[in-house]
Amino acid sequence: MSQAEDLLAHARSLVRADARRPKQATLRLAVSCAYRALFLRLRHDATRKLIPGNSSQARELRRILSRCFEHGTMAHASRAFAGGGNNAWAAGAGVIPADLREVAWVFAELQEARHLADYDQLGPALRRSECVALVASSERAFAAWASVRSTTAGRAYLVALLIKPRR
Amino acid sequence: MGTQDIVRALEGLRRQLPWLDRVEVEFRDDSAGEPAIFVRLVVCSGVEDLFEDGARLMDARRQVRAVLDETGIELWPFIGFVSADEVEAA
Repeated sequence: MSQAEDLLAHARSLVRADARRPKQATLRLAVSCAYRALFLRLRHDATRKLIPGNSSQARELRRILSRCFEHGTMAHASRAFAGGGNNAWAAGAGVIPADLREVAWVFAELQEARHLADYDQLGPALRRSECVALVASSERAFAAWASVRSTTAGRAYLVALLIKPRR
Repeated sequence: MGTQDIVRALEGLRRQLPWLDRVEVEFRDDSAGEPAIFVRLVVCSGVEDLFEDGARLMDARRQVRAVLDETGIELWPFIGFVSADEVEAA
């Protein structure tokens, strides 16, 4: 199982824990893991597509590249691929498959939720049901991604997550 | 268009989404500082399986988005789901 899938499974186990009186720390961690899982899945595929191969050089280059992803760029690209906002990669990708729009939308949702979960501890308490919905959405995005990751639009999305187009 | 107008428009979705108890809407900046609209769909009691069904959740998000598009709202919509039981218990 990949690190991304491990994290997704961990998110699922966290939202199932203490179902009657879940701790805020547990719920917040579940949301964080659900986002992180999708982030890692997409980052892994992006680096693999751009630098294929199993040589030590390829692995080192992927490691360097994997540290270049910026959450803000990924959010903007995701919104564009989900049908909100402008992005040259999204515009050039042609018809964006429904499954890809879903992945992009869920990524944007999860990133915002994760930000509140990780950095807004004094904000409103998270409810278990909303966290379960976020984990289920991440799981659904994993499945949707599997069907579009090799399409032209899917590859354009991976590039868009990494490279912000010039305006 | 104000918050209550948006709520009214979205509550028209009850026909398509019979599990919808009510809608909460808030305009605020997102974590990146950009204006956004936050929609929370409060789900009736006894529909716990909905929260586990990513496909149904996405379908509901699409329907909310379609209504928001009709209202002319151009802000990015963040759409969440919460059970009425948990909201009332708080």
